[in-house]
Amino acid sequence: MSHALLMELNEEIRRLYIAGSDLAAGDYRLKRLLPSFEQLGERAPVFKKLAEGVHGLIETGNSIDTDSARQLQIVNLLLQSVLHTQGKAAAEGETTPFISKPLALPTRLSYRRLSAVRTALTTRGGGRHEVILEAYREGLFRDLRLLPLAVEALNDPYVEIAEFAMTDILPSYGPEIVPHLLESFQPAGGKLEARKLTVISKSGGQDVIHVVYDAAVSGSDEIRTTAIRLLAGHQEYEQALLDFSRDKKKGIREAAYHALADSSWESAAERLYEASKGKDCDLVNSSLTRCQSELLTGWLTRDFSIILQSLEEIEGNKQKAEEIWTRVKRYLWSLHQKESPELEELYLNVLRQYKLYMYKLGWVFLANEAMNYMKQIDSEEGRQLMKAAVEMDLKHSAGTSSYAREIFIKAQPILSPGRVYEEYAKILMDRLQASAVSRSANYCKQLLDTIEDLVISRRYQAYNREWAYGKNDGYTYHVEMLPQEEIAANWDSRWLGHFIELDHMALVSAFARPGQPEAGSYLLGKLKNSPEFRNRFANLAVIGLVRAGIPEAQLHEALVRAMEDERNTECHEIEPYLFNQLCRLPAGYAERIRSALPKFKSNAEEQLEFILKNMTSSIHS
Amino acid sequence: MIEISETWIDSQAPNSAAIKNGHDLIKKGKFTTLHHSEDQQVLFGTCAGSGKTPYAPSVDFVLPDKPVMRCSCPSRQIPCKHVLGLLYAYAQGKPFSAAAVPDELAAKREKAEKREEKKAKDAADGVAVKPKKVNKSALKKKVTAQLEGLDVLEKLTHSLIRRGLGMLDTKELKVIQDHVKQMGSFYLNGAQIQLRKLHMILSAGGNPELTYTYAAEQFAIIHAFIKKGRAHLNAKLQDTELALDYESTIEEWLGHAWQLSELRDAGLVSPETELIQLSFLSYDDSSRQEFVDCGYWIQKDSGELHCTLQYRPYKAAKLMREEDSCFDVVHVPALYRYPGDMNRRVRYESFTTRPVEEQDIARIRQYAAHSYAEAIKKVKNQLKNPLGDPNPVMLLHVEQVVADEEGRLFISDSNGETLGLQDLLDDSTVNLLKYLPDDSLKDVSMLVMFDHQTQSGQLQSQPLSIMNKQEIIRLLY
Repeated sequence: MSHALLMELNEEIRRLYIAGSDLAAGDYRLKRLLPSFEQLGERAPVFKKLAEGVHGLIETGNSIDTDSARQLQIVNLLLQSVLHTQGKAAAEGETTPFISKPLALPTRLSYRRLSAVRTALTTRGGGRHEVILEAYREGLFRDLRLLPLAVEALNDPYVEIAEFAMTDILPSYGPEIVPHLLESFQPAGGKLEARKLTVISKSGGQDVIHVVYDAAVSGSDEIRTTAIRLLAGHQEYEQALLDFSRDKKKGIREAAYHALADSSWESAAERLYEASKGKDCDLVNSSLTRCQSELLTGWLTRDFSIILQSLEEIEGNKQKAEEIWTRVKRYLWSLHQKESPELEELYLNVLRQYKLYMYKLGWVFLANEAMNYMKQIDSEEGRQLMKAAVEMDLKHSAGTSSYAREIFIKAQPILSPGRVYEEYAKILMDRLQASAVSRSANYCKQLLDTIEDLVISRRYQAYNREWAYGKNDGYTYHVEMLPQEEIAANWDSRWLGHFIELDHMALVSAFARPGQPEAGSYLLGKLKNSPEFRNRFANLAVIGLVRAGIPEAQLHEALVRAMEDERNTECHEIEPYLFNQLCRLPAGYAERIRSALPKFKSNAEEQLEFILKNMTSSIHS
Repeated sequence: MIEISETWIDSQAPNSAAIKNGHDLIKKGKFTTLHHSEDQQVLFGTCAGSGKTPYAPSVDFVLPDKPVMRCSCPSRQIPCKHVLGLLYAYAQGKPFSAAAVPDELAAKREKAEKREEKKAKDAADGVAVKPKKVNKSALKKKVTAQLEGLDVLEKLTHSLIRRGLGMLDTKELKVIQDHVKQMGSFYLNGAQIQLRKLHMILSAGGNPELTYTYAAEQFAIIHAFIKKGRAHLNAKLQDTELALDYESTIEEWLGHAWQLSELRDAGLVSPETELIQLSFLSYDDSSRQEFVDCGYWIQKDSGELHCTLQYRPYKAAKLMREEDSCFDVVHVPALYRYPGDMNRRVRYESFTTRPVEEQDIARIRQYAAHSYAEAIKKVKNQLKNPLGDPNPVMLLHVEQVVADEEGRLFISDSNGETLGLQDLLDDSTVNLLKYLPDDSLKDVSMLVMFDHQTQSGQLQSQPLSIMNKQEIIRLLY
């Protein structure tokens, strides 16, 4: 009773703070409360004091003006103090013992270690993903206090973080996490709950599959599609999945097809086949590709060959051919990367009629798929047919822009090295006589680019910087060439001479081989002319010199000369291949390296220091 | 032989970046020499920096519990990364050879030694440390200025209250802001903080109803502060000695920063005590414009709960050491306590550590309050003082954890009395209870923080740590 009265007074006081204390004079609501306080004041002195305060507040209008504010403050202070002693702490209704579902996790990490991860998980902005990955790698998530945050991370707006929580962090807690996720799982929810369900199913296994099924039946659309996919392979839900695949909603059907494709039942193959015939033929296609059932492959191949045969009946009707092509594309897609004797026969047939499919109908996809299939398997007839097909292509494309590009790429692995050389070498020979702006120069450039793409790969890739002091993983520019044996086996040896003639250093490096002194001296000259480690040339030349097998001493001398060259400045990081070669320098070069060191900067400096460090340690040992 | 662990070194570092940088120096092989002195008291070495001459970090363990760390680098962080690197190298067992201490360092050591000697001599001779001369007239001036400041503050609050918060506009907020600045020149740091808080409440936006409730509470605090501050200052003016008040927190409210010597003179120091940290938190207090590192500790021999507070002003935060959780028993030769009620602030100048053992846990578990009724009475007694800490912390015995029909959690004592649990801080801890095994929820000691919520009329508490029979489970940090 008295607490309610105090709260009522608090409400009135608050009102006066908002409206201004000048309105307190003669306030009738305060007047109404006054008698109750006076009455209680007879027993408790604090109420008496409050009553006096309220009384004073009502009377303020009669005295000097600041009084109302002062009086209000006095009553408020007293009231706040009293209210603070009135707080209720105990439970009001019945209570029952709390039952926990324990997860044995320690709490031994300090604030400094936890707070960085906590900030990453609870705030938004860049750079968080790295922190979280690092924390996971260091095992910080084994601390109990990060567990609830890991669960919330499923809802992170940054998809990579949410997915990482789903695929790595949460499953790392094992099946014990499942009851806690189940507790908060809401089948009507969105992405967060769908991810939660995935973790539940992956960590809980057979014990929770009924939950997944319930979600598949009654959840939101997002949840249902996730749940249905998770039911794949569970025999007891075979019928359910078949039923889902006849659902009214497109998304549900698609998910069911997906799940059926991942299940090895005969009924699944039948249903997918059935769907491929009906109005869902487009929707089911990705699931057809996914499904590894031999049964299904057999049926699809059979239908595929019937369609190809039906071509003969339409007799050049363009519109009908177009319709058939649409269906053929679907089959190509769904049979992609599958193998069977029937399919082999089908593709052999395609190659037998290569001219028809490739040039008359222009079904390039089909022809290429047939070629690719044959490359995968070992068949003499296939090889012969491919050779014939490529010869046809060569004839057809001569003089067109694809001749030195796509067709070269196609022909190179199929025809013998000598045949390829004879076909294409004349382009390089013509170039020597032609002017730089002529058509044949352009042609030659195309061919050289194509060959370079085939034998040399250049890309940025992850790289372990063994020389680095601190962070030793990073990305760097890598140049890689096909292994020398591969080039010796698959390429004609006469190419090299042309590349030297045309002064194409990258290809000379790639094709250089022992016993070809011209290549060695050509590359030594190149390195001498452009010794700058900051440029890509030096690295390329060194790769070639090693491939040419020039004597070690000569190579080392050339390397150190290049390093000492006065033009060799401004290098920030030495490329990996070149660096590895420098690492092999004998310790005797230490002095010369040390004196060249001041010209190098940042990472390159650290790299050379690393080399020097290894040299001194090899001297000692 | 000097014995140091990596955790100890970590605890010396000003922040985690310094830890990393210290380690990196070793990895990079920047240390060119590593030595210890012949008597094994000093570690020193040389470390390559960006310039020509290497830096000379050194650590002097002549007083084992108060090592002196020096370095010739210009960094304002102490210890700097070079000293940390030197210590890590030692802890990792890198080879240190015996060598003579460099002259420069030897000279510094000698000076320090002489200082120590003189101090010891003075103490032995009974030369009383000269009491600091207080410039009384200056102090009087300051007190008068403070009184004047309180009048200004009162005038401002009264004018705000008379107009009413409903009429508040940006112009008036600006006036409050100006007064925040003025309070500084009246030597009223406490008033500055409270007024800034009021400004923050009023300008925060959001639910206006809530804003008014908080503002009314804040006005009550400011009023109490003016009232108590004025009485205190007037009394001080009457006193010929102008003595400090060692009983209540009013001096701190008025902006006084206690010095250890003052606390010692007032007898607020206990010798040879052991402390165990039960919880730690660090937060950004924007009304103070400071980061606050707060640790809650239990004194092992008396069971009193103390707190350590480190304020890191925004402007100096980079150069100051961030505190961190501490998992060891800390032995302090002299523990200084600040005036106050529950959870007094404490400080110490030097300490040594040892690992927590099971018997330590058994000992602190004995201090847990068994009757919630009495505990709550004590808490409310503090809460009714508007100038007291509104979030007292207590160690309670928990018979079991119970839940009501709506799933809200309560702790229950052996009489069946219950106490509601709720998250009060930004970091939630209540939701961690469901992951704990039974032996951490039954017959345990729990460190809780209280808070009174005027709107709902509830006294709530948040669990910070739990002590079962084996260990301290930190729910916060």
